[in-house]
Amino acid sequence: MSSTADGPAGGRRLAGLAGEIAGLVLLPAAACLWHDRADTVRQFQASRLRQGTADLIRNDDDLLRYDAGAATPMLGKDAAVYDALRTNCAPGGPVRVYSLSERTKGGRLMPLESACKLLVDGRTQRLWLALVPQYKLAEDSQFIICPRIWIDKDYRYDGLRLAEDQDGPVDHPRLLTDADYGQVFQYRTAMLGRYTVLAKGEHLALLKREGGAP
Amino acid sequence: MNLAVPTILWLAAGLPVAAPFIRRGRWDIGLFLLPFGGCLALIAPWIVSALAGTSAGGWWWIVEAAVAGAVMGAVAELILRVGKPRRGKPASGSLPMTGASLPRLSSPVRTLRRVLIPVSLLIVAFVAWSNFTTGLGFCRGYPPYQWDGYAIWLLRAKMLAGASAYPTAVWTGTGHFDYPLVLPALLALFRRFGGLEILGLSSAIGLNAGVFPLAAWAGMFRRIGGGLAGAVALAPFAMDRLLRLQFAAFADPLLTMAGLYGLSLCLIGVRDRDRGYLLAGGLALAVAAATKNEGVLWVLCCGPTVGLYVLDTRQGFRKAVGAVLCAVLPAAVFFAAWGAAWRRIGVSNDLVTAWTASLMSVRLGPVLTAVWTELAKPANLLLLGVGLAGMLALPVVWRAGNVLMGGSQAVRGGTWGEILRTGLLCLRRTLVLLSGPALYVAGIVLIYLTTHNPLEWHLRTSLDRVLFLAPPAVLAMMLIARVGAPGEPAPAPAWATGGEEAAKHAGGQH
Repeated sequence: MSSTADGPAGGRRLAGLAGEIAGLVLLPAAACLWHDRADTVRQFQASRLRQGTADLIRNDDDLLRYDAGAATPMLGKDAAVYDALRTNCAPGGPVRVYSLSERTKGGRLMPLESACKLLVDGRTQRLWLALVPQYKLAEDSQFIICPRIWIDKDYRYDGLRLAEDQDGPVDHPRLLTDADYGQVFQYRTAMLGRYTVLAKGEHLALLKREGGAP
Repeated sequence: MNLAVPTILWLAAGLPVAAPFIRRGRWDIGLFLLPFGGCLALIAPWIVSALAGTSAGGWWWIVEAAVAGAVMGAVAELILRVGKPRRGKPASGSLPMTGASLPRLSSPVRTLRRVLIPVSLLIVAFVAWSNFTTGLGFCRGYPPYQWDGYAIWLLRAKMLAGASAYPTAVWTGTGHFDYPLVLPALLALFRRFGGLEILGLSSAIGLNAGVFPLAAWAGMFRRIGGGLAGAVALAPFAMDRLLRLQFAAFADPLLTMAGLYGLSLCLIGVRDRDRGYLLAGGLALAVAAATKNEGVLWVLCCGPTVGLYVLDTRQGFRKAVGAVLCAVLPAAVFFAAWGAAWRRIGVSNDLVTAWTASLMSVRLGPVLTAVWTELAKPANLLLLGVGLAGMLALPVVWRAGNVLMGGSQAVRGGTWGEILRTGLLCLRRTLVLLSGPALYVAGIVLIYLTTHNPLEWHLRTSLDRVLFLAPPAVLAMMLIARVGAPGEPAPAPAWATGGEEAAKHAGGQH
């Protein structure tokens, strides 16, 4: 606290005043903290739960695979896609990761309320996080990680007709675009070709383009 | 895993920025600037790399950061030297009331203070302890990374950590292409020089939540007292979800801290007529602008508030221009450089894209409702109420109570007319100080009116965190201005360049 022009006595008074203000401030501020933390106990429990996982998660590899009890598991069952990529493509190689939020030329996005988008995009982004910088994210890769919905559903005719769970080569997986509410689904010409499904996770799949990179 | 090496590198990068202040014995400002100056120094090499394609890999990054810090320090030195202000009259915005003429505290007030302060400290100690242990719990085990946390900030941190030059590729694959880099650069430092993996980075994020408030407290306590400085430093943590989002690697908590502490130092600088504080506050505001785009909006709103506060304290138009430049210019320089970088990369802002009058008119009602609902949360109202009480009611009640309870007659101007005048002055200053947060909230409303995202989703997922800044800022501004407010003793003027004189006074007190 600075002193006043009136010397140390004034300074002491000013310090006393500041102390009083601090008292008057800190009590309500602390009450705010307490009030807004009506879920304080729940937070404590959550933090203890997280602490409880400390022995199970000792490194990033454990983290990526950990699933039980986590509100937002990093990869969960989609770790299969991650493992398949590491088996088939050496670190440093290029890989293309598609999400549902790929932009159309008009610059519009997928409807974000879509449950599949929330699930798939979240998992895709966590996969990005796991892959970089070991792998190069590139357009021209023959390895493509895409939402599993692309290969499990055929939107070509009536929008939501389920196809059988394909394990063999897939023709022309399609990009679900911003016309999710029953309008139009667009092809993404860059993905035309034949692909082999190398792995299928919970929300994602790993495809390999036959004949190498486009 | 090593937290010490990157922490030392981070703070050392800020040392050249703080050096001009430390050289003048301004340790408070120097300590404040270590983390903030370090942040600015660490992102400078990446901006240069994006613009010129130069390397920013390995130890070269640190060397370039040191150079950038030295350049910023040299500019600060120049600003502190040029145009030494003349010794002049003290602030005339206050009533003619000095510390020596403060009324003796009446007995009920003394009793109140005796009870309030220990109880407050106990509660704050408990809250701090609960925050600490909860935060520690969140740091250990499974970290709560969510959405933008991993999709933008952690992802970019990993890219920066592994890159030898500015990695443009990832910017085309993730959202918010133009978001600046302070948080990812800081985390990249911990990853590159501390060997922290994704899991370990949560510790580094937790460290941020301690370093910045400590720096803010160190910067403010000599001028506004330890308790009040602590209240301002802790004010961001009164926001629900702030700590959770901090540990989820979101950038909003850092933005809140940098924006709030920066404005606080600017206001202290205006109040004490101390260019050093103004400059330090401006650098912290630049960190806010370099953290998230909302930070630029915040700085734009701080400019008018600082200028109006200078005018309100009758320091003159030239002082107002100078103060606004000190507060805003560092952020403006950063924004110009960063804007040039992302224009060169070929990305643009991906939020404000839907500019149709009809859409905006349809959205206005829901957006205003949501903003009001958010701001009218009990905790926010309490913060606002405390700020308003401190600024508006206390000076008036103090004087009125003193008159009514037969306190010391040494109160100069202790008449009902003077009490009314005090109230009006307090009201005017309150409106001046509220202009900043009010403009900021208006800017946020405008962004939601024009977003291309589905409105309900956008509001639900981001409104609370982009408004983190407003309530604590109201509290901090009211209380900082309150110490030198009308009806309160004027602080020691720091007429000498950089406020050395005031620092000496302050040093004498502590």
